[in-house]
Amino acid sequence: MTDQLTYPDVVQLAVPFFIIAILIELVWIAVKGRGGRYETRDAVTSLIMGAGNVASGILLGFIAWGFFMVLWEITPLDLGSSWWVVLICFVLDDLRYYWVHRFGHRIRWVWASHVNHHSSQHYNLTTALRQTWTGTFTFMMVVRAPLILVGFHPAMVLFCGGLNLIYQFWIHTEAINKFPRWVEAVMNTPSHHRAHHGRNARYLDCNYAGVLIIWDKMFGTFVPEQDDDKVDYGLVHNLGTFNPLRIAFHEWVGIYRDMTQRGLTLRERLMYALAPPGWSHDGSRKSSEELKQAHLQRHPEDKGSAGFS
Amino acid sequence: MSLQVLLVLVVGGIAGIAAILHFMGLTGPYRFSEGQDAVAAWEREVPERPATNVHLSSDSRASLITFDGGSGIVWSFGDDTVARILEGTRPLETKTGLRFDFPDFGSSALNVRLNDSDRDIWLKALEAQ
Ligand SMILES: [Zn+2]
Ligand SMILES: [Zn+2]
Repeated sequence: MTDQLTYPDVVQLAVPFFIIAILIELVWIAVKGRGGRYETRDAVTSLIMGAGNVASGILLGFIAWGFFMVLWEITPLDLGSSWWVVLICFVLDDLRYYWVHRFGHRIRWVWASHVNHHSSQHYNLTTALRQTWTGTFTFMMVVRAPLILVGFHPAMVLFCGGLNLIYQFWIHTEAINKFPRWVEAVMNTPSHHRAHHGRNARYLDCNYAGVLIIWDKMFGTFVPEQDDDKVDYGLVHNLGTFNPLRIAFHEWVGIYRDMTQRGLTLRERLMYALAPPGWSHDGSRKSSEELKQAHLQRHPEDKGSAGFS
Repeated sequence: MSLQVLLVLVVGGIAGIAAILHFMGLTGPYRFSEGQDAVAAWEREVPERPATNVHLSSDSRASLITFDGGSGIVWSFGDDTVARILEGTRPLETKTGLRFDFPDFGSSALNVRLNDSDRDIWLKALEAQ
């Protein structure tokens, strides 16, 4: 009976490993004098966001789980649980991750949840744990629906998603520069993901990959990290707070305020929730395309280089 | 894993890492060593509004920036800096300087340390906008 299929909650099991890896990175930086930066309040804030993410999973996880089990009841298909089915599930779930992540940067409603992963100006292993508390409210669980409908058991899908998140933990580091070319060509690596965390105009909206970087190459969003354009981590408008509640909810508050201001048409109100971040009804803000344009006006020499085509 | 074990790991892990970082001397605060630092920090965040004037706070942890047609503030944030354009944000006078409350939910209130003469300079510069 695959209805009773169970997998361990890998993200919770990985907590001791996360702690040990952070300590190792810290010692490495202290000994080598390079390979990243730590600051106490920044790191503690990231860890608290991570703890809150696990807590919100325990409290609200039943919503997505209920939705998945309804789909599992509906579907006549069952692919079983052999190892190659798990492998295919992992790869397809990685594709699912690519699109959820891409929506997370291109639809403000989803960005409101994902933004807090990008809210640190640091890039170290604690940054990986700076995760959303409000993922359930983005409704991005619907992107997993096709996987379950074609016969992957919900528990297997969630197991693969958990492994995907654990993979992404260790790439949040400056201690590793680059891997051999064939690794960088196929896998998401510290280098590729550093670019994803950049607020430099060049790196906006690139490298959405979870485990395999091939999706970015397939869908035209790949930008390699450039030696002559050091990644400046954080948000285009960096946060001025270490308060976890402000970090978790600031963009939702922003959406609410924008949508409820006077004198907007219904379309404009909806656009404040659904358009890409930076959209405004009066042109007072800049989207990532406009930020790239503005950068090229100041630095015409960058025209045609990676991230500006 | 049981919830109790998870809780102990998470709370212990966060507290332990916080203590280690603090005793390694990695707790901010960033300070501007001169006005030029503050200008660089400003232009990193607001490149489209070049600074025309800079006034450092008395503890060098914040700086008032004026630009063509407005003013802004850039301040120390952990080991980094943050900047905001002051759009109609008027500070409150406090015993130790000025307090800025920002309209956006993504910034906590900021207390800037200013002695009496620096505070006068800041208020005059803000008045001029
Ligand atoms: Zn992202
Ligand atoms: Zn990341």
